[in-house]
Amino acid sequence: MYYTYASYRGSTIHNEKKRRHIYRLQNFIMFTVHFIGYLILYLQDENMEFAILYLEQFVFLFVIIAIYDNVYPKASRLLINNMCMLMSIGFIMLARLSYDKCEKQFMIAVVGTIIAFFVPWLLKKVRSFRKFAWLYCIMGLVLLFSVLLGSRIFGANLVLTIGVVSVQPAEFVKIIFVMFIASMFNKSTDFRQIVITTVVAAAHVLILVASNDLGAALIFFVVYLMMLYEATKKTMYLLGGLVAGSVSACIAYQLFSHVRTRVLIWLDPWTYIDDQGYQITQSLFSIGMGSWFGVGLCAGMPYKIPVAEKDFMFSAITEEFGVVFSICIILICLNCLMLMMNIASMCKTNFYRLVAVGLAVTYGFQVFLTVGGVMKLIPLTGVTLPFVSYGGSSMISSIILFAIINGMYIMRQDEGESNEAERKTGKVKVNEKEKNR
Amino acid sequence: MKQKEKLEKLKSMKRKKIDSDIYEKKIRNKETNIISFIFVGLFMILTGYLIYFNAFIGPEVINNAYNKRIDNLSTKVVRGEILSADGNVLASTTTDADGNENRVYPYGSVFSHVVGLESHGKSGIEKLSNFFLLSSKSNVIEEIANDVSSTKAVGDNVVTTLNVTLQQAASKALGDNKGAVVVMEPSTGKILAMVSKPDYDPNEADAMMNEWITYDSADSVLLNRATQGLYPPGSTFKILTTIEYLRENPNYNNFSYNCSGSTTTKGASTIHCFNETAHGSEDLNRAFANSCNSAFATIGQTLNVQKYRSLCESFSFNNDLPIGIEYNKSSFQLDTNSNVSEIMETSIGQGKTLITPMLNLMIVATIANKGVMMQPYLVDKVVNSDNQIVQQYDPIEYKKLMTEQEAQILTGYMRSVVTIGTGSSFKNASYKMVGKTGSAQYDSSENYHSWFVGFAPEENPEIAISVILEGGYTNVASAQAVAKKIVDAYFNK
Repeated sequence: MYYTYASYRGSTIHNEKKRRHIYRLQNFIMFTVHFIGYLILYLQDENMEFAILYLEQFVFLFVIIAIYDNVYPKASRLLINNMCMLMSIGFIMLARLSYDKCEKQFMIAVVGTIIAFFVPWLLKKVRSFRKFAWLYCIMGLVLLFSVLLGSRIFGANLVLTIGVVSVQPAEFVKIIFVMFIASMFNKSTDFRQIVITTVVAAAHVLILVASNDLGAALIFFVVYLMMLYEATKKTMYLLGGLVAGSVSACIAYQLFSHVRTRVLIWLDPWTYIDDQGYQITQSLFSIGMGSWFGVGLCAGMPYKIPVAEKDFMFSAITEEFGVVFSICIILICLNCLMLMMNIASMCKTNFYRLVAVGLAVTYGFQVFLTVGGVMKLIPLTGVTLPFVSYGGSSMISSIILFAIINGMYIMRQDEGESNEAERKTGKVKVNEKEKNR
Repeated sequence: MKQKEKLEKLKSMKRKKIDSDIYEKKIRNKETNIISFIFVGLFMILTGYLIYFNAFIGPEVINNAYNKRIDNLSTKVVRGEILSADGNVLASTTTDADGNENRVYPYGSVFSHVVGLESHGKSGIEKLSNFFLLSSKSNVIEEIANDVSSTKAVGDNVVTTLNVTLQQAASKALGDNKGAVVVMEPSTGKILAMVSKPDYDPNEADAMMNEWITYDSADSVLLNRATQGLYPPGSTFKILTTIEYLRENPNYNNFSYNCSGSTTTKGASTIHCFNETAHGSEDLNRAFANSCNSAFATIGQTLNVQKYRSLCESFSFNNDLPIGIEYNKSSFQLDTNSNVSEIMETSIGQGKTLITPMLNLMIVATIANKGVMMQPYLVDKVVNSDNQIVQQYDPIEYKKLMTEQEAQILTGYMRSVVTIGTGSSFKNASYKMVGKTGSAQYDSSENYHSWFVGFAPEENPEIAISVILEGGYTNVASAQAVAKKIVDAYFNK
């Protein structure tokens, strides 16, 4: 109980950023939340493993913040703080659900972060990313296609296994896909170019639908649409795309039985509560039981939801931390999105702006799909909540995604636009005020 | 609405901010802004829905047997009481000196099935209202005090629609017979009594459960025959056959039939009237009152099978019942592939048709309520320990199934059953009973289940009743005699 209240306060202030002082406060709250979370877990089991894991994670989070602060002092501290906050919430919940998975997730996060440290540097050194459009295209399609032929888990063939490591290529293709579209539209936005790009984008989406990864398919579609709009500045494309999207959704509904099943469960999960509807109904129980302030860490039964640690992390968190806390998470995610859009709109280079918009939309729409899905606002699509859900590929790709954004933010500052960079923090206040209502 | 406000506010704030920040305004481009707005909108919808879900849908959703999380609550809350409509305690929890909790059912076996069991898998109202019984909606200060001192909170009480007098009368009237009684207020759907025999004493569940579960279904004490028992409807099904006939034949008043005690159609089985009584010349009213099998088997052959089936399905055959406690679906199997024998048998309530006493009650209650089927319900309200209402349940119109005129015609026919037909037990009652008897053959021997469904008084009906007596024969122990004792008890209140 107390923990929930503390977290609530934490997130409120979390959004209330007044540069350095606030950043410190944020970090402090984050570590407090993280500490209390693990303290509860430890008290529950009296298992030293939690204490060790806690220390490791504490060091890790601390090092991320410290390194970014020193190596990339111009990086968006806010974005990093948000990322760490989400990660620490994810770690707590994951440790509560399954210690082993949390440990694994933590290792992956470390690896991801190390890779990501080089991204801003790479962006700075290599300025020719925009020239490899067709390389991205082929890479993306090949990866996705190999998955289609590959092994299956949970009815969705999303995993590619190379030796002992299994990855979900779709997670990485998201980023490549954004790069591809950005480089295509960077060259030109005449009609011919648009047609070519559309065909390639449609190929991505179709492969994903065929491999039953509806969530990713939707994300790709929306990302493409938004980037097209951003590049051409024509509302007609946006509206036309939406219409085309609706039409193709109807066709997919008729064509694929797994699409129909999803819609059926969404409309009436209670009839199928024993089989296909089991997950979503358990998720609704979870959210409903959580109510405003949650039942308290370790006091709920989020493990009743199948694969809670992946797609249903949001429900699990809502059950034990409460709706208020969950809303804070939604707002933190929104905050990240707004930051990215801000960075995008301040990019002078067309290519970078497109990439930033694309990545922001990828991130934002993914959050929307997973959160909306688990509370049955929209049909379930089975995507993860970035940074919070269990899943190595998702974790690494999210970290890289944020690192790219940060890289562009740093570059833009290097280009001598640091003036309004400071001001952009004001934007976040919208969020905070809304929160305080 | 709230969402819109939020969005508006958000937008205006943003506008202000942008205005004040001219430099930034130049840099920002329109498209990025629009995309941002779309996402702010999407996220606000998420937040709004989450709040809405939690405030309005959540409590209903989580009160579900599949939600194992509720059981967890019992560590923090002492299970609340289940009360009759007039406040008698039907189930309560006592705590002994050692802190052991014990569920007590003061009326013993009288309310066994409908109140149900709190342990051993849960059933009845104990299951239906599980979440409310384990929630404590007392004031916040008390809650925090309980939290701190770690004393258990007192769970909310569930006030049912059940009437102790009627329930006792029904239990007594059924006596040692196997069968079931359900009584309902037709204008609201409130269940006033629900008895199933053989019954069990819920206070002995811990000791006896292992034995109870070994009984086969014919002798099972755990089966709630009122909602789970599936029986051939026998002649009570002539109600639906009549409605279909009225709809297909606007000149139903010209119907006439000369009954010789049986009817034979070429290539099909022969249908006999009960005891092979020859009813002679009949109009529809008299055929109904006499419960003339020959006449109705003949009527059945003229009906449009497709329409007949959809009529029955609209009355919830082959469909779910909105009653919240455990039940079985009634089934109607006739379709366009059925042969003549099946059609004849079905139209007099034999054949493959199976019905629960509950659904049979809902059908007569629909006639009593001028063609509107009310959603049956057992819980009137939930109150906290200070008797403040936590949740109130109001009558819900479930379906409009007949025109008022059709209901009126059926009421007239069913009144004739009492005055000139097979329901003569009620002939001299102080109230005007309306009903339909039935005797349903359930195996190849001469064994019959005895049915009675009906309501009273004829004008402004106050109660509707459905009685099944397993293996009861009309002259030995008939369902209408059982029904009469219960309805008498109601009007002599």
